[in-house]
Amino acid sequence: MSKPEPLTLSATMLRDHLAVLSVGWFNDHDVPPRDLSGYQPLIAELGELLDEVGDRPWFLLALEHVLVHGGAVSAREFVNDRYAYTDAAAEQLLRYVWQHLGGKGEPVPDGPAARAKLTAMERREWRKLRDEQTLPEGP
Amino acid sequence: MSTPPDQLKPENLKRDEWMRRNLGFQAQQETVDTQVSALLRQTKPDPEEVLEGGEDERHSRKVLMERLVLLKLLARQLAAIAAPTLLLPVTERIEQIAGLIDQKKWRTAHGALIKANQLVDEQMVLAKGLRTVQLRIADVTLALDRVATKLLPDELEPLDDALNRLDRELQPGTVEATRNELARVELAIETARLKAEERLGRLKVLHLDRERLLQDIAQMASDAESLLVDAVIKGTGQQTLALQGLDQSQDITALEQALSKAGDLVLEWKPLLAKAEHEVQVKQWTQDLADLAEEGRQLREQHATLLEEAVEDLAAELGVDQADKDLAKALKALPDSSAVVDEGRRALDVLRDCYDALDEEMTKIGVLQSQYRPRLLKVREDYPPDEDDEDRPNELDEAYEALDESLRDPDAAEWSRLALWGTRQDWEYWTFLAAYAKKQKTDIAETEREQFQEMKTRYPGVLKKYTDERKQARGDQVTAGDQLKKDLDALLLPDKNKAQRLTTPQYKQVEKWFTEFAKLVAAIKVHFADQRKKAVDLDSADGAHSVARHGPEVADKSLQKRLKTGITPEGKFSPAEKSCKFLSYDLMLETREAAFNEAASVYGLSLAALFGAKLDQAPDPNHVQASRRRTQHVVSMGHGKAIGSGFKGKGPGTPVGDPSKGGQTFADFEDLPPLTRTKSTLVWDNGKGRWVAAQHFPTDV
Repeated sequence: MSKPEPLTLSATMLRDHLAVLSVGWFNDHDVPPRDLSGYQPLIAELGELLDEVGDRPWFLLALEHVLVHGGAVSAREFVNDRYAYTDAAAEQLLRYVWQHLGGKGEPVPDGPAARAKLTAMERREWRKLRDEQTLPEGP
Repeated sequence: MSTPPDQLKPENLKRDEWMRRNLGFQAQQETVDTQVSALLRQTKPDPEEVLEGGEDERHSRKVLMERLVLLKLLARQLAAIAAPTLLLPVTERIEQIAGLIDQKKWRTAHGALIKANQLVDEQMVLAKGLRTVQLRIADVTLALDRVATKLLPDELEPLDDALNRLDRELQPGTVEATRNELARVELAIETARLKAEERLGRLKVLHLDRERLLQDIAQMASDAESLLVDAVIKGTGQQTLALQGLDQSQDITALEQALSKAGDLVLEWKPLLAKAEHEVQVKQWTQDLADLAEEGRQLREQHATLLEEAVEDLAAELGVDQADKDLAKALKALPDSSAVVDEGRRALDVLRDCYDALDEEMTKIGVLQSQYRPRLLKVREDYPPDEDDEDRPNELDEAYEALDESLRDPDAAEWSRLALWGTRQDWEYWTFLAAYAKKQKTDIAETEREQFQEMKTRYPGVLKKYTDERKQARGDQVTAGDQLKKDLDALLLPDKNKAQRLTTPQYKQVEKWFTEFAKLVAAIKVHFADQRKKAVDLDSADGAHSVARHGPEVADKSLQKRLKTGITPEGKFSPAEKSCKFLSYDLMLETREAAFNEAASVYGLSLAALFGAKLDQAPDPNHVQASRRRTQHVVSMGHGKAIGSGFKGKGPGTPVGDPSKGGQTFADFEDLPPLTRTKSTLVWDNGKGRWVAAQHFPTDV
């Protein structure tokens, strides 16, 4: 049996959804919370948003992809619109979000998320592609 | 007759040398002949003397022997001047007489001696006849020699051979036949001479033709060389060699054929050279036009600088401050779609019109220069050669006057040169001009006088036409130049005759343009102020800091400082990796409004459904739709055009502030590409009872 085609995920989608935290937090703050738990209300908002637009599993796959390829894909690039997170702080934030929005255990280095392609694309284009792809079966 | 020694024979000598020596030899013979005649008289026997001494044997023998010795001497003399055939019978008689004397037959010997003397007389007569014919042959040979250089080889050789044969075969018995043959040869020589004279006359004419043709070919070779027509260069070289090779030829047929061929080729080359000359002329014209255009361009460049200064002066005088920073900023900050920008552009166009209109004046000279050429080209069409027109005016005098004027006036002479340059008749004029100049100093050469006459005949009226055209063109130029100078003086010399300057049409036009420009500038300033106030008011109402941190008037240094220190333009500590601003207030406001629309469209809702008609639709915690329950919408969107600019930290960052916040700053930064996206957070403000844009800034992704 041949290997399934790798999934294509939207980097723009990942960045825009993370902006709920990485930009939204700064509506009334100049620096991030002292503890990541400070983001919890925003993570809950993000969860609702993801469910409403149908992006949650795709968002988690994209997050897992970045976390698996930490050396090659900079977590910072997805949260640097508003605040100058360090690489380590950005990765901690992404891992925290992944874990609190449904990520199970640890990111899988050779799973479907790791094999996926992360590409910049506008929302309309992403949604069309998303509807044409099939989500991999869970662990 | 004797035969010349071998070394004196004609085949061993050149003809003239042989003749010289032969004539000398004949002179010798004539001397000997005289001596022999004397001897004959002395040795003639006296019969009585023998008879008287008949009884004295010793006396008789002595007398007879003396006479015989004298006879032998005569024979030897005869041998010296006569042919062997004449000498032989005399020699035999001498031997016979000697035998008779030995036999003492005195009387018989005496009788034989008398007969031998008679024989010698006869042989001498024959010898003289031979000598006469031989001299005649020499004369005819001399005659042939005189015409030899005019004869062709096949004419000369048969005659020469005939004379040699007659000379060689001349014998006592062929004297008469030789005389007759010699007469015929002499007639043939005269006939050949006449024929040669006629041929040489014809050749002389042909050689003159050849010289003329060679001159034509040399001229063509020179033309071809300068016009780079290879085929003609090669052909003229070959034909010149061919014709020069016939320099000594007397072959009429060969010369005629060579001349005919060369003449045909000259006719073939003429159109080639004419075409090449035309092409060269066209190239020259093209180059001259390019030079003229370049000259015009340089003039315009120089003029543009003067105009710029003039515009600045006028702007200052009219109170339009082009250096106004607000204005520059406003023009830069205006969005492309704004009608005000269009007005701004129109204002700039007006300025450009101001430049162009006056710049155009400067091109008038160039235009005039290009216009007069076609007029001059028409001269030839208007005045075609007409040999039959006897009522032609005396253009020569008119031309003299025109050229005299040209020579006295350097400017006019230069203008004449330009005008001539534009015509196809330039060579006639140059010939004329050169000849005329020469005439002023010395008598005109005959050839140049002929050229005048020919030109006058070929182009009746052309010189007058040319003069008229030149005057008209120059007059136009002077008029345009004077006007232009006045205009420029009025515009470019602000302190000179100011009152007069202010009344010129050009000044009034510029003044009108600047007035309009000033109005547009004022309108732009008002619009700019309105938009700035609107943005500031919105920010203030929303409690946001978009204008302070991302407004178009934020200095780039402030943006860069935030990357380096974490301090925002309004002085707060909030480290950022990107620091950006909007290009204009128009764009800032336009994209803010677009963000609200985008937020609604994410959920497939209308603006009013999500935010209310006045952004006053409060979130409903119990609504079935999550979007309706939410108090914040983060909007990320692209605008399809540049809306902002900014910088991004570069290189490894330096941790800054509370380590738990994970922030950093950057020692270096780089320009971001033109920004086309924005990020906005639209938040429900419960206190204000409406949605606000808590954050709105440009970004790259």
